[in-house]
Amino acid sequence: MARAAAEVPDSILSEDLLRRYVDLLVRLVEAAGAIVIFLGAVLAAVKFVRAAFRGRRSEEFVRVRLGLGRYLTLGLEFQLASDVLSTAIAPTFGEIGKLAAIAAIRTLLNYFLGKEIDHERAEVEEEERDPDRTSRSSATDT
Amino acid sequence: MTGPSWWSALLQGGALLLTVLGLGCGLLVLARRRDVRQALSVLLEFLLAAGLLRLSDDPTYRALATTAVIILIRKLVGFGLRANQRAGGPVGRARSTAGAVPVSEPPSGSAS
Repeated sequence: MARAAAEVPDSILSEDLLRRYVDLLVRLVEAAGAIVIFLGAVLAAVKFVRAAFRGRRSEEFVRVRLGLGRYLTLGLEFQLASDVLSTAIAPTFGEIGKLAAIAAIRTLLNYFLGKEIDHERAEVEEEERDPDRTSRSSATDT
Repeated sequence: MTGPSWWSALLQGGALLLTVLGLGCGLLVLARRRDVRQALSVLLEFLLAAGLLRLSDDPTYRALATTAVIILIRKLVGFGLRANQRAGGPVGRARSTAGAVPVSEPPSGSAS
């Protein structure tokens, strides 16, 4: 097996070539993640302004926030994919350490964002099922 | 991974724009809803997006620490405000009295 790998000519799959290809892929996937996050945030800002001028209902704002959270999660998935790709070409221990820290932050964020989205979606669905619940609870609070 | 300088500049500019958008949207939500928790959540969500963009550009330990701190603050503020609202503290009371408009109320044209 090792001999077979050694027999592959350098011109077809040299380490340097592989590194360049993976590097390009990492940049492309990372850029896709960044673009998703940026566009999602800009779209959410536009929707926030529209919701503010259309009315003052809380569900509208919560729904827009949920949408933004989904974009962030999608962007994070792309960035995590690029982190996984980076592990193929991380040569030094320092770079691997940094990569591990970034991946840990992104994974944790992804987890918390997912939980938050689930929680808020459940709240919105509950309010839609029983629209008087919130006004009743605010009346009993005061 | 450090990319070309134009990409780096684009990411930094994008992050700055998201921060400004976050401030604007947060203030807008505060003005319309008078709900501090919701306005802060909106602001911190945009700040998070900006932090993620910065993280794509320059993954130094400093940038990592900044993003981690933003996430931590975001969680703490959200938790604190939720606890306050449950306990009927100043923010919770401010919302239920000054908030004036219950969430189930249909949007009216005179809402300003």
